[in-house]
Amino acid sequence: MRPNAGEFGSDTFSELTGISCADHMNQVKAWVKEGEVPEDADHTVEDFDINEIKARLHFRIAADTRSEYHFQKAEELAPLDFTIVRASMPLRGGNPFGEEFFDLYERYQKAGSPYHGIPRKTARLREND
Amino acid sequence: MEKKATSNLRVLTQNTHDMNAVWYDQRPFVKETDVEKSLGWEIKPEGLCKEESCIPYTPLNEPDSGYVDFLDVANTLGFSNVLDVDLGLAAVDTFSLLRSSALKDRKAPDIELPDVGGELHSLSEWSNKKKLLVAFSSW
Repeated sequence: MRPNAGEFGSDTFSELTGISCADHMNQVKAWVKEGEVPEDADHTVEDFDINEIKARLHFRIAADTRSEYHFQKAEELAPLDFTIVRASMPLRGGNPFGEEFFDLYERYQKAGSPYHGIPRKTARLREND
Repeated sequence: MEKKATSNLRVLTQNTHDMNAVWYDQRPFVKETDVEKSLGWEIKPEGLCKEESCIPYTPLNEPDSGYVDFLDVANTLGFSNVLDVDLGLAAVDTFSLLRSSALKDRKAPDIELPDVGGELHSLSEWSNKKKLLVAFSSW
């Protein structure tokens, strides 16, 4: 099994992400048609650390109870994790498509876009694309 | 030890489990059957058991009710947890063993998901065929 990777199946969000779907879609086609496996298929994805696990547990309680204390604890433990911070926004009365999301996305990009998956090798858009 | 009146404990895993609990020193003690329902492991004389696997375990029992220390069981199984005494809630990461195993051996667990009609299908239905799993969220 090739581990999970954050990829795009269309260019709907290319303006925001700066990432074209073309290289990834070519990888998928080559695998389906030719059985060609990408070089990164043997990449080992690291498990969550204890802070990320605890963040998910606090978020689990917060999602069930809407407890602001547990929302805050979850965000403190995993401040750049979309599945915690962005997913919390609508549950806390915020807008996951609004300014707070773009603030999060800027912090995430400045931190090197960390996530648990294969590091991106497929192409980003050139500046003039 | 300080005893609290018997009250409800809600355990959050992938599912939600409600059970009676006796609280000592802000720790919930629950029935053995509720341990199995919520954590998936059964307390037997030989220890904590699931299918063919058992690990040695001696339960910590509350003397009056015979209930077992829920967090002690979760910690013995290596399940990280967060307890909120005031809310009567415990969130438990029962997925940790499966997750770490899948990350190491890179074999997809035989997950089961509903199709658009609600009928459940498992990955093994397409064994020896190429499978592309797409996960996305509309947020």
